[in-house]
Amino acid sequence: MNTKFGNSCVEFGARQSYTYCRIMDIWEDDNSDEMDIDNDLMDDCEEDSFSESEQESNVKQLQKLNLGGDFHVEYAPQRNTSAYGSSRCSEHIKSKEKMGIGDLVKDHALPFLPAKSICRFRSVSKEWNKWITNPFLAHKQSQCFQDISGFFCQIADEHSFISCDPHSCGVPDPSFSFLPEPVILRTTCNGLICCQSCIADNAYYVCNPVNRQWKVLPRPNYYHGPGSAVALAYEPSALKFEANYQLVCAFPLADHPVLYFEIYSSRSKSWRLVDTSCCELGALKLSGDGFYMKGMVYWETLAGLVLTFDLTYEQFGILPLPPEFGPEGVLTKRHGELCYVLPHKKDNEYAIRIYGGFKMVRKHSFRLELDDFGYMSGGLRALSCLNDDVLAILFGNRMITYHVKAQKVKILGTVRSDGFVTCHPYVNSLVPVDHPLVSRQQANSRPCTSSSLWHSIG
Amino acid sequence: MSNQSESPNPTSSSNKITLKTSDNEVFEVEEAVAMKFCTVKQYFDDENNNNVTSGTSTTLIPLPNVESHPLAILITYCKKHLEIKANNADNKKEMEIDMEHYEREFLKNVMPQELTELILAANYLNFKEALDFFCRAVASAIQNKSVEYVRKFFGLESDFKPGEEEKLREEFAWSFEGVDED
Repeated sequence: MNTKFGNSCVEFGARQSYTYCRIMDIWEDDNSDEMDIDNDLMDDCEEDSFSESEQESNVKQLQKLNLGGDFHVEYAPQRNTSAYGSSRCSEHIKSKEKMGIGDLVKDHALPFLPAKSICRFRSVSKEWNKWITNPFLAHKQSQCFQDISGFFCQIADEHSFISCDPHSCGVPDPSFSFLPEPVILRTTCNGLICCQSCIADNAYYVCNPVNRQWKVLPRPNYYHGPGSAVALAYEPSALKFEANYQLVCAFPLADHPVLYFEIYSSRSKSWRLVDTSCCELGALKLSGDGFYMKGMVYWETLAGLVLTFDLTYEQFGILPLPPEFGPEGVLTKRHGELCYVLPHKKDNEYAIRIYGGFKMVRKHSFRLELDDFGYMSGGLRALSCLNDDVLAILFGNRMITYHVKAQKVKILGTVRSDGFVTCHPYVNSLVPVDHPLVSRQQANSRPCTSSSLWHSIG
Repeated sequence: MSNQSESPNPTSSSNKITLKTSDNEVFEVEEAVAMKFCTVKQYFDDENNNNVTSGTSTTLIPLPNVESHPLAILITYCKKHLEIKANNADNKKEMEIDMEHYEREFLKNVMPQELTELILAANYLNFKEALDFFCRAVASAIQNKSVEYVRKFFGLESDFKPGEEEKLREEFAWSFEGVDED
């Protein structure tokens, strides 16, 4: 079965432990289930009839194994306590005894690492190499590791990557040359990247530059021309083995004062027009691609509002931006909430203001202590919050991080200064774009997935 | 997993459970604390089911795979964990902030070698939160390190056939760029 996948990331050799065997057995069962789903899908092609019950049974199967937090069957809750006596206990002790620190770290600590470190640690031992190529590790890592690891920068059609920690976070090919055509980067979300072809049909791609997996999306039903803005929505989930994502596009139709929403779903593999449309003046001209957080998509508008779109109820809404809004501000996440970070310059002092809540009121304001960098010049642009204490800022052509409490500045790198650079926050995740099980199906039906390309090259 | 979390203050719960480590030290801990160790809880429940009549007798639970040093640290960690939970029962966010603060301080007093002991103990005791926490700590300790450092740190040896490792290193050359010196 390993050769069929053709993908170097998926190899399964000898099985070592009982636990591993069990997981792989279920994985194989799961495999057949998924194939059924795909067959169903191809038979009736009805996106929403997409075998909810089968999906549920898959989920249950995963829950049975308690895959979300832990892959070890030993952890499965044992209800029938009376049946287990001391013999059960000693059995338990025995199974625990076998686990050395290397195994524990491999199983439980590796998923907390960024992708670059993980790829390096393939060379530790055969056992580590095998576990790291296992799709379960990729699945677990994509949930456990969700820190912003760096920024993809783009100027004209040139791409580069600036890492927050070059030792542990990085990608093999920041120029996206693994894609079959030149692209511009549109938006990112939790490790996935949405690009768009620069030529001909402007096809959308969703890819992960770490494993160089990609998928080209089918052509949308409507023309996403100038004035349209996209947002990628992907939430790593313990229960969904496959990365389910949605690409939402808000687009105007000809000269009508209205915005429509078209959504691509990776589950249905198709585009769909949403019933609601937005006619709110002030929300029609979006200033760029959007930002996804907790089931909602947010676009800034040129008129100083935020157009929100709720993916569950498929309703739009409007939030205000603070009156001082500008292109140097950014919508980002801090303390788990949406906030707007805006740099501010008065005389020779730089300050950061943070707004939040439904009315986007000022929550926090502090002076940037840049004394050591007094010689730096140029405008300030907020890029993202890396976590609750650290902000990433573009200062002239230097990208810096600023630790709010420690008032510490760290220079991450420099960007080109001969034009406007867009910087997209990126999570160094192993999330698979082409699920190896699904891609095998697709290889038969769809000629342009990365794995089928792999076949033709290899 | 936390059926006994009703007790508002874990230190006031009456039942004590006695744990005996591999180096023959005896720890007497509150039931709420001991029940966070799933291995202990399971043993305890089994015992109770086997002799329903015995009620709240003080049970001695042997822990042949845990030494006293990591157990003492785990008990402290667990007590604090429960205390923070009880203090912020109605505010999850506050709880997370408190917990994060405590954990950051906690790690300042833990040596790398202790970390591996703690992981082994937390794994044996099946204390999920602690295992996750210590594994996170180990992850951030090794993420910038070289392959050789990781092998040395965990006492692992390369078992690749000649040429295999070189091939991997070549394939993933990008992931070796800019690594800390050990």
